[in-house]
Amino acid sequence: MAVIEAISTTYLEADAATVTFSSIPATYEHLQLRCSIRTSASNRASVTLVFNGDTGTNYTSHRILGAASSVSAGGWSGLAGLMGVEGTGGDSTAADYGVVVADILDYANTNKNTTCQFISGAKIATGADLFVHSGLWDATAAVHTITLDGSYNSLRGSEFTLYGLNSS
Amino acid sequence: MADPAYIVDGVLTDGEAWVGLGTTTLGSDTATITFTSTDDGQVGDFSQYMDLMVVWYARSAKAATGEGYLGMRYNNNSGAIYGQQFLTGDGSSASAGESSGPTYTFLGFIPNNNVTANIFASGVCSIFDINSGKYTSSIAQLAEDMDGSGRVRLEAVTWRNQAPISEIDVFEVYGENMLAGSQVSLFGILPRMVA
Repeated sequence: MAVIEAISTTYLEADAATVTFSSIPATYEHLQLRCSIRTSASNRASVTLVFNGDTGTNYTSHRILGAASSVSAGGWSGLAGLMGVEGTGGDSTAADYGVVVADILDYANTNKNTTCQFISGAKIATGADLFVHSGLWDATAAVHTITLDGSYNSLRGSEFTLYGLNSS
Repeated sequence: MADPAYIVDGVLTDGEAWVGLGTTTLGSDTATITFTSTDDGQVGDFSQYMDLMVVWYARSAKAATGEGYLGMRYNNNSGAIYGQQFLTGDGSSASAGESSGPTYTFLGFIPNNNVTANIFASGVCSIFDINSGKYTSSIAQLAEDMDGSGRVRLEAVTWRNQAPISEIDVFEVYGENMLAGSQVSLFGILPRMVA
């Protein structure tokens, strides 16, 4: 068995409000989500990541942001979904898409809450924003569904692929 | 035409999401490591991959203390169209910066050859959706620890060109050689389109 397997790819042929990966097998050790996203927002925008349809205030996130020559950090609790999936908006060139790698660790272990890390970069009007996020879903259920659902549509050409990582 | 190795009886086998496209380990000091698409529908044909991943391990051959820069270009393009945004930590402080005009994707700092022997820097770089007609964006992570000094860095780069990638060149930015033993690997990452 290979170490990394592709579970599913969604390539948007039309603008979409939501992208969902469902019936995720519990047979992998970790998951990795790789995305290329442009949104209908006027500026860079986050696409919220939700596990198993849980939109309760059960998520926590921390981040470091590099914007031009400034560095900032922040933390949030009581979120209704995870931050860290960043797409470009209307202030950037039409061919600019934000890029994201998200690692969802030990997602099928029902003795742990699910933790994640995100690295993302997205062009803005002048320059770009660069993010490192951590994320916690305060639930021990095995992740079987991942939903990406922001306040804006993800535009045609946006691409999302979920990979499964096996233990060696 | 025969199918690529990861196609069996016309079906993409599940076990091959990441496909090794090549590894170059330098036997002597060398200026540039190049990977070129075979454009033949086989494993080495970049046109079939969603993403590419570069994994590297390098040290400069320059006989000096300090650091060199490791860069990467697409399609042999040296235009000033590789816009960057970065975060850097050096052990005591964090900083950020941006530039719209580099002529390469910055992969990371690499130790010069008067730094303690056998210390190499390492990094990975994801290059996203390389055949889509979008500008090509990447995220690179660097680890450079020189036993007392060093840096970690995260860098997002957008190559403002919509051409598919057919060639990747990795090189020392100031014209120095990479030291023998330096290594660069390239992987192709396949999608899985299901109903």
